[in-house]
Amino acid sequence: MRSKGAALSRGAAYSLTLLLVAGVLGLTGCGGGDNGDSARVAQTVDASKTGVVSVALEDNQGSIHVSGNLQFNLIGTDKDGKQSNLNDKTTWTLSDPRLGDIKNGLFTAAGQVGTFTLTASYAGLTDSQLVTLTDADLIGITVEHASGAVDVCLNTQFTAKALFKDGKYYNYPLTWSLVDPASRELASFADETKPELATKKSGAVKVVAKGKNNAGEVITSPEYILNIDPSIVALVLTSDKSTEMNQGQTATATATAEYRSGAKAPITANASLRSSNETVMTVNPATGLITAVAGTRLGTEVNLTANCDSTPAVLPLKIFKPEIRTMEIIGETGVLTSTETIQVRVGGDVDPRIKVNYAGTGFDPEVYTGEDVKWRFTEDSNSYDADKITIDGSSGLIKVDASLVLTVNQILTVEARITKLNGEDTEVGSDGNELKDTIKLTIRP
Amino acid sequence: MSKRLALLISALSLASVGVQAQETKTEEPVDFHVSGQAVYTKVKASGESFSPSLFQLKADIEFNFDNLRGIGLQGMVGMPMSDDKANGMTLELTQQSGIYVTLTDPDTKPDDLKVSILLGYASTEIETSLPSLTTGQNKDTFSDFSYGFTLQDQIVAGEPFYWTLDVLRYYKDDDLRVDGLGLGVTYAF
Repeated sequence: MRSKGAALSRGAAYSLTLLLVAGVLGLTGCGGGDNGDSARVAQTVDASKTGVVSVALEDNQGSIHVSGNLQFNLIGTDKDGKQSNLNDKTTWTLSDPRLGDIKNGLFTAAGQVGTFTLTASYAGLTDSQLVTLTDADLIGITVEHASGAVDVCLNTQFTAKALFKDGKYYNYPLTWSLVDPASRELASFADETKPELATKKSGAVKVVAKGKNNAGEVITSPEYILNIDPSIVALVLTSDKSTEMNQGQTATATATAEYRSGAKAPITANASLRSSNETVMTVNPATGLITAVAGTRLGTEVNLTANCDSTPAVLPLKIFKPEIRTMEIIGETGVLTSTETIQVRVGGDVDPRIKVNYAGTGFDPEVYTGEDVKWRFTEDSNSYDADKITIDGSSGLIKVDASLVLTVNQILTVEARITKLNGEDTEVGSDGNELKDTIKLTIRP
Repeated sequence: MSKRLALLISALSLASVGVQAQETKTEEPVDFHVSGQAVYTKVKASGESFSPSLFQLKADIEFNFDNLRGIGLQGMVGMPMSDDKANGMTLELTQQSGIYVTLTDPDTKPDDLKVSILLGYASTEIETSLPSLTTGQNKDTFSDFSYGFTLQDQIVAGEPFYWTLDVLRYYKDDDLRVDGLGLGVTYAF
């Protein structure tokens, strides 16, 4: 793009461009300028929507164990006094980042003793507090539970109070366990560092929490006895998809328990999900994910079962093959390659197979094993010795009797077709053609 | 990254000075353009969009000799035209500047639709004001790698004026995004 008769000289334009480039380099600080506080811009936008006009850190004890953590909360208040938690929108800063890490208000100590100032900023509003990190020694643990009982097959949370030599309680890394084998038959901690108990059978379980003191000695809490109530009255299994599944499909099963109180709750992970036939369908007992592994054209029945405290549930499923696209007759052995002819000697037999291709992607061709196949010779039975050359109409097995006298090869045509379900007519494949094929059979003397 | 970009731009500037020195010997080894355009911006933060507008002045040189054919250098400054308000909050882009390397198909003819890719560095100053907060107005400058493309087409055949349409990302991080759509006129010297 160029103007031959530009009013402004090219030299002046060149100078103007370089001047502008130089000016821009100066304005942008040659690429090294400090960036503004984009979090504050986003927080200000958020404040315009929430109406927050002031913020304050929620009261806390202001001290944390060097091996523990503490959740801080920044509370915003709007002009009407309505409060909201701003933790995930707040900019959290520590005056000494070596002492720990903070994300969404959860401070995790780095193991060093010290003090730091925690500052929480939101839309230019700030609050701060002095925090002390202590290495006080652990002297005792107490396990607590909200009610002392839980409905069977539900998960339940414990809390622990870790007491330290300075007389304070701190969050502290603990492990959770069930005391005896009888308890472990009824429930389990999936993650021993987390106080969540999964229950499976009713009864009483003994729970303890453990932690190590500064000398490495294990401090164990007194046993806490939790009652798992036999309160289940019904268990129902459902699938998020049809109970008629195609091979390769997945679905998610949910086990829902109904309790004496009338409450209903999903308990899938605690309901011991099982498949009655894992070659047909598998299930992940933790997630309820069911996978149709192998089906048939007519559908293979399989049961998904669940059990909670001797209350069973069954979900019958039927696994189908996907729709057949095409079929062809192939030889009795070897890989699934197409063949022009099959051969048999007098006195021998041959059992041709059917190879099918399925509609859709993800399904490899395979040998068809369905029983809804009709085999025959297409020639009139008077044109060959039907007593000595036979074909099984269902299996396709061809036999040539040893007494057959041949001096040259005899060629017959074998036809196979897949019939409609519960019928004699030939089924139509997904490509619109009949599921039927023929192949030449050469009978050698 | 931005320092490497500045070095590249410096090298191109030096190269262009060399070209100027040769200008009397060779036939117009560089083209010059200046543009003025109105830019509709979209500033996204915390799920809200603001659309303040800018007026941008741009100048560029485009090299016409062998190894740098199709490559150019563009400087841009922007001034506020209007602010935008949402939920009682006002947001204005008070200043903007940028520098870009432009990449154009070297076989583009003067009457062709010219498509160029812009890669560079932009700096945008944002002023926010929310009267309900005691913190008053805040002004921050956000600088980062900037990129986009520009389309140019002649307004009248034979005349040195071109429509220009720019689509550029000026800044993006986890909390903030600044994009722009500019429409203006370019004069080719």
